[in-house]
Amino acid sequence: MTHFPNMPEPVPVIVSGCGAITKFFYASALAFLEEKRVVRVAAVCDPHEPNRAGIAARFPHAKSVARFEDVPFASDSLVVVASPPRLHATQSIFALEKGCGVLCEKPMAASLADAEAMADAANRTGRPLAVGLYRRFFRATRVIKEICTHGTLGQPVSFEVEEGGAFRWEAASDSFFRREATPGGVLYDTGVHTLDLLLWWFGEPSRLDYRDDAAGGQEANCTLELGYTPGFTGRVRLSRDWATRNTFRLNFTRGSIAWNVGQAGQLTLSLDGVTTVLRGDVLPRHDDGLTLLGHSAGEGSPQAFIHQLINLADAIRGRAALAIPAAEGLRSLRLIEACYRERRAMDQPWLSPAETAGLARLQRRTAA
Amino acid sequence: MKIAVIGASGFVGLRLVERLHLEGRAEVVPVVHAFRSLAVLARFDLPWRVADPANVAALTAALQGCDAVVHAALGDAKQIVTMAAALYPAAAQAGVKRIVALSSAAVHSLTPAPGTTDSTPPLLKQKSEYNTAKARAETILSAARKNGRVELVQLRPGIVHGPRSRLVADVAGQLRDGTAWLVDDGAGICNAIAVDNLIDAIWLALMTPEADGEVFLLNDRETITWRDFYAAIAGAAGTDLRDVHAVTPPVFRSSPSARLARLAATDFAMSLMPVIPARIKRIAKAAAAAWPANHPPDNWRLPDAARPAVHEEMCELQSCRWRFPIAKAERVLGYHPALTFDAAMQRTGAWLRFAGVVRA
Repeated sequence: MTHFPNMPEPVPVIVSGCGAITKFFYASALAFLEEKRVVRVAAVCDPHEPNRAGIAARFPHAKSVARFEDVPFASDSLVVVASPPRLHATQSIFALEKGCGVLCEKPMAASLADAEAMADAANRTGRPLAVGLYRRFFRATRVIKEICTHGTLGQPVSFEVEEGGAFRWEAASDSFFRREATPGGVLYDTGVHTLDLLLWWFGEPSRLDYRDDAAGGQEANCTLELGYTPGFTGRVRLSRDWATRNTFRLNFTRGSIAWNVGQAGQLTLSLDGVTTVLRGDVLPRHDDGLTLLGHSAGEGSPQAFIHQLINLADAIRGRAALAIPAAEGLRSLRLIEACYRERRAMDQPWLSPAETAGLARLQRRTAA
Repeated sequence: MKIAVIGASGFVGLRLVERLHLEGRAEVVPVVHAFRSLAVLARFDLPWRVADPANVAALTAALQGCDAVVHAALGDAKQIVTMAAALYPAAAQAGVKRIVALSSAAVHSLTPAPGTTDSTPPLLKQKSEYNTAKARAETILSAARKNGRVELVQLRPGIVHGPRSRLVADVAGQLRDGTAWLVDDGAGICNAIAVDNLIDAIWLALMTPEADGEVFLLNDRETITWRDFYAAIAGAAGTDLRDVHAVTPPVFRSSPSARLARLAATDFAMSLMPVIPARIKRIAKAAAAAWPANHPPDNWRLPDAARPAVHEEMCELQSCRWRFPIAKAERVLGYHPALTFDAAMQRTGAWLRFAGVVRA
């Protein structure tokens, strides 16, 4: 059972950006935490009136403003920055300088330089800046982290990750797909989460081979091969084009883990010497070291969003360290920028010779 | 030449955009219905437009400045008809010179009568709502051409296969899982056409003045049976046909909810809907949904091996005994399928591995 800290007053929350991520995730998480008196939404901000009105209706006591500059900032507020990525740096730095704590939605910024400026601002002001890499709050990913840290299944041998599928997110404009507004495609979007988990579990890779299918625009498919100094390798395939298995398969010297990204609280384990595989819920331990079936409910993405907000509220009150501070958000952005620097064209062998020549021409033009 | 492609994120539309853009044949203007549909198109820096293809004003704005338009949008039965009704007036108002509309060989039903040709009128009453809608759409466009000045070519492709084909990916998955099935050992005719051959035909339809006002059936050059089709996919997927189930088509009965949905979609029922109280509609829906479709499962048995899911539409398709002729397309358009079936399937196999549908 989640423990709700005894807070003297709920932490005031300002929501900047009332698009799909706020509508489908943050609004419900905040409503729950308001009920528990952990937070109280003080203001919602979005220049797009219909989006803003939809969120404001759920928090009628909150001030509703179109311009970020008009938000009534109070120090020690929690600002959820869920605006388009190109606004993340400006709004986060502004809020930090007002004495607020910030939870910035991923990707942390439109460029590594912007993200570094945000981290500098957090250091300078001493205010907490967290990045919305919510998958780190999944029970399944935390177990994998422990297994990696303690060598429970031995040393890593290899991994294979497939993630993505036909794009279904209800984008409210085409800015998400324009290079001038959003610097990358599937690697920059889905890949932020994927790479963040790999960095968290396995550390920095020592070499990479990155390929994608962009030809003047954003990649819809990409592959990434990673090598690590201890000698193991991994392969990542991301797509917003066609269904993938949405699975992480991690091989260690004494067993393997398979994790489906849609199952925040479930894992499949294959252990050396065991002829079957084990699939089940990840549950907290009880005093006797085992949890009886049905004793504790599983958790999913909604709970991860709630835990993320609780962690930041605690950090603002000085009761807890940030689980995902800015420095962690920078790691996946650095790796993504390295991938784009090393970009090579993916083979698309079903194209005709004339198309392949045209593709190469477009890719050369983009690189130049 | 500036060509708008309506339905540019679909299977055929996307391949058309790729070909036109990468081969440098024309300026392409992709038209999609929703922003999310730009995800794969956004690999290219193109002047896309977002518009509801069933809305004349929105579509007119999207087609401004285009010389020709290819209509390749997908939709349900109702959308197919409303999109066809909007297409011609929008193209006319935008000053487009020629429309190439993708109809379907299914306008002749999935089991066409022997002797069916391009000049056989579409069947306006079919069991399948989709096929009926395609037939109606074709008729709406043909009538509009008689009263309008925008040139019109309608294409009736058969079973389109190639990279990003849902059918091919599904069959590859069924072959992998041991759930693939064939009627009559796959002896039925599969009126297959490679998507790249279809793109060539679309290009010819755009460029051939004599094609105006005509409809064309389109196939690959070979006569392909369903067994050939499955065998080629199996080859591309690195498997074979050993585990394919032999199926005798069962008698298909719709569920009460499906029957209710079909009834509700008729023009007569639609006209009555506004006067039926909402409470009655809710009760009828709930009753249909609650109707037990099958008996509850019996626990006293071992798990079954994977079983094929036999669909009525696929049973009918596989029962086809008529190969659509392409003589008219050859004569008027100069359509001579460049890609052999085998070469096309090799390309498809490369894509199946790229997309991870089958392991490399």
